Amino acid sequence: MYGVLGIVFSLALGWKTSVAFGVTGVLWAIGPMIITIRELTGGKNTLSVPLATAVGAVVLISWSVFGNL
Amino acid sequence: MELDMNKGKGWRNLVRWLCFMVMGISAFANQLDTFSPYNVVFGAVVGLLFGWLFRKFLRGFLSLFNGKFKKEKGKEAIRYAVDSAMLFLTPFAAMMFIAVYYLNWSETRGFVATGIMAVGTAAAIEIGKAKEKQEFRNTIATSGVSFLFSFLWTLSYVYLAKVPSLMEGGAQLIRGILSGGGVSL
Repeated sequence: MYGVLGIVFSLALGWKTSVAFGVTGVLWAIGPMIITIRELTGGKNTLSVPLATAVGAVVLISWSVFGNL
Repeated sequence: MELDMNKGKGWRNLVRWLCFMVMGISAFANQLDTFSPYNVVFGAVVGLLFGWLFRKFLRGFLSLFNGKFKKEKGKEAIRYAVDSAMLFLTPFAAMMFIAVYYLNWSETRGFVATGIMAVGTAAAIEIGKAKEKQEFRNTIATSGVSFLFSFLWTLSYVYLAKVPSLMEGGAQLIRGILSGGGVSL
């Protein structure tokens, strides 16, 4: 939803939407991603929480790089 | 096999406190002086208070909606579910810290809102696992509490963000009076 809206506003109005729309979408998507990681690690918090934190950090930094292109 | 709910309790508490402190410090960071002691102390205190209140409400509502389960398993089962769910604030606190202190972003309300909502969802899943039955009412209860706190943070942030600069001004005023040098303008 955020991706589609970002493309629409970017093409129609020429806005740079990768951070404003992209990061907001990514943040809302992190929740289900965390739950998925937890299930895939057999519910082990000691493994799933650091893994989810690393994934979140990488996703955020990569989005900021895209936003500056 | 019976689950030992006290195993790792200290770590869960420590991670939860750190997450709320980091979120508070990052949210109220001054962009011109990111490690200003007034902003750091105020942010940490507000973060901890907010986290304490959120946890109380989440536990309270889950207890209210799962009275029979609480009687059978004790309040420790509810506490364990909520505290386990709170661990999922860690990715959001880390991302918020990176956004403020590495990427120099100033808009952080989205991180808190999504983190709080993720904890709500995780709490409903945790309690469902403990009961071996996922229930819609728990999702409604935890989502409702999370939405309320997300809204409360977003709304109060606008006003609370002004407090550290007022504290700094007040401290300078008192220092000026105590040193007998008057008020510096």
